[in-house]
Amino acid sequence: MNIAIQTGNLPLLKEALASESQRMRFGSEFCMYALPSTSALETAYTSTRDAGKEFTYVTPRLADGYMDKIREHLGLLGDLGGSTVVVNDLGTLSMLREFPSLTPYLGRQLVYTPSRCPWEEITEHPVSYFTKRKIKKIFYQTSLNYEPTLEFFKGVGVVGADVDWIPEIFNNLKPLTQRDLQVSVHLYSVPVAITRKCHMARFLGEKSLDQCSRPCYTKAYSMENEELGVDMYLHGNTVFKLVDPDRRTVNQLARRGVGELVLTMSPLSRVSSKAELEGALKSLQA
Amino acid sequence: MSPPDSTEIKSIPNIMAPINSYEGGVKVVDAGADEVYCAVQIPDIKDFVLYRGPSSQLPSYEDLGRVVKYAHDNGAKVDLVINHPYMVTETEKHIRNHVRSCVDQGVDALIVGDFGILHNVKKLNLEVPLIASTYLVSMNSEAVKFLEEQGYSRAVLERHLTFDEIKRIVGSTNMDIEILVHGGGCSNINASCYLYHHQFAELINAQRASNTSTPCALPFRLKNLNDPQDISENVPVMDAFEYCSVCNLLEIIDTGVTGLKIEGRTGSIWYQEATTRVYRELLDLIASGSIDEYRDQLEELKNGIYFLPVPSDFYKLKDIWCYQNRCYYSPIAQAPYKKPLTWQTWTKQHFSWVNM
Repeated sequence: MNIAIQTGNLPLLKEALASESQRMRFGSEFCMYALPSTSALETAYTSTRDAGKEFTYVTPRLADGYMDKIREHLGLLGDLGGSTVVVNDLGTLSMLREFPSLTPYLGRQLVYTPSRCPWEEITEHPVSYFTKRKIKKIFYQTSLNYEPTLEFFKGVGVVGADVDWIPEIFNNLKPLTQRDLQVSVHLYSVPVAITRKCHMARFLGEKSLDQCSRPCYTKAYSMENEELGVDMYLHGNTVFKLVDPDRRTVNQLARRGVGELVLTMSPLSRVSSKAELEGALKSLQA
Repeated sequence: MSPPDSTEIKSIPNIMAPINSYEGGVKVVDAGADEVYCAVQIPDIKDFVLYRGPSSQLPSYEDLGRVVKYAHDNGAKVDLVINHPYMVTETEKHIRNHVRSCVDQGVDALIVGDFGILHNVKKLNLEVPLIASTYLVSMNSEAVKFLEEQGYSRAVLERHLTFDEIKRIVGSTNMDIEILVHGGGCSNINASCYLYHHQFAELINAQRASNTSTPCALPFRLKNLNDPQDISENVPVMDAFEYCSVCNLLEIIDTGVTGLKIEGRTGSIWYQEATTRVYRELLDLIASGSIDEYRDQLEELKNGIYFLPVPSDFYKLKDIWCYQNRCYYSPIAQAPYKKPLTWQTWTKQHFSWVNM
């Protein structure tokens, strides 16, 4: 099983390049304000290729003002020889059709997954055993499990998709890989709520998100509410629930045709150096 | 972006009002809605609830038929919300039957937020315009162009935009663009928020304890994972909730949007009617060029007793929503919860039986 390392900044990428991982994912998955500069993207791409590794560019949802920048980035990647691009925005997905050497990969924000919900209850009111079974069957699928939806995305060039480490959905990943969709499973953190109005930046008093000082590079918070009793975590503009991956389940995923795990270097995964990275990789690889 | 004066007024957008009952349909049409939007319970999967429960839906196709008749008789249209943000094989038959049943009742447009559902709607060969729901997160011109290619003729934009961004999108497309202007303005991006509002004991208790009504308004103890000493108590950190647009109607009209959508399918009939009426009256004043009168009405509105979705209805608009600048399309980086409410408003909120 390949483990791709995902990061949004060059110093962390440098640590990741020194690891055994064969694929680097660079960019911003959730925050449009954290799009890398064009020169940082070029540096990330060339240093990854120079290290003999594969490169994937990760892009977030975008407002109109960022579309010129993303077009410039896609053009650069096309000129440099092509790459896989993780898309979380329909506009970016549409734009990718102009760049045949770039391969679209669906990001988590374009794969609707109800079981990201942090609540234990999946129904509003008590229902019979059989009704609950029926609901569970629907609840633990993703939008890609419906064949016309999958075919729609494949029709616009999508070759793979990112999903979360939610063991209840793993049985439903095999039908995706059987239909020739590459599947990457994100380790450690499951996004349960994403905002443009960055909760962390607003809490820490950032005045403008365009000039944000990026506290998310070093900080993350646990969020506790005694009555609610659900563990959630705030990192940047996203609220996560955390999950503990284990080697046995990694092997099960491999049997279902999943080819890649994604490890994001962040204060949430507590992986920010080569040593921490090697430790995390070792714990997951047979 | 500065507000335009009366000489620059573009065409007045339609008002889209939410309903969940026939009575509500009658009231909002009478109050001046150009269109009403509603959902209908899907009989065989009504127990599968994600964001909103049965209280947000018309109970039957017969009720939908009555709403359509009343709306059409009075010059209004009816848009059907197809409730699910995704599709699976197990729901395919039910959704198809549902869409056909609703179209048979004469709805004027379908609001669709998933490509799987879109596939099914297209397979039914219905001659009904399609509206892209906020579940499709239209935040840029490229996304809107893509949706137009897929057969949509209108799009509802995501809330987390600025007026300039909205204007730019409107200018880039021939599609009709609608925006939400009033009611529960989500703190998170609709399609990426899995904090479902379905009510279970722990969430109900947490909301009661903090006198809040949505998960994103809950207060949390925040602990910095890298610094155990860095703890902040009682922070509603996700709260970017917005509520109202009455003061910004001139700027909104200037963006060129064709529809203003009022949120509140779970709201009371009274809320649905009153909100529609307020927006109708204000838009009519603007349409007639009576900008000074519009501004006078705003002051009266902000200082008068006004409606709130919860927990009660006797606050002044300015005490909560205006004081904390909870306008739709307010600055992206602001944290309204950091501006504490006055002690009078706080007391009213926490002891709603006190009539101050």
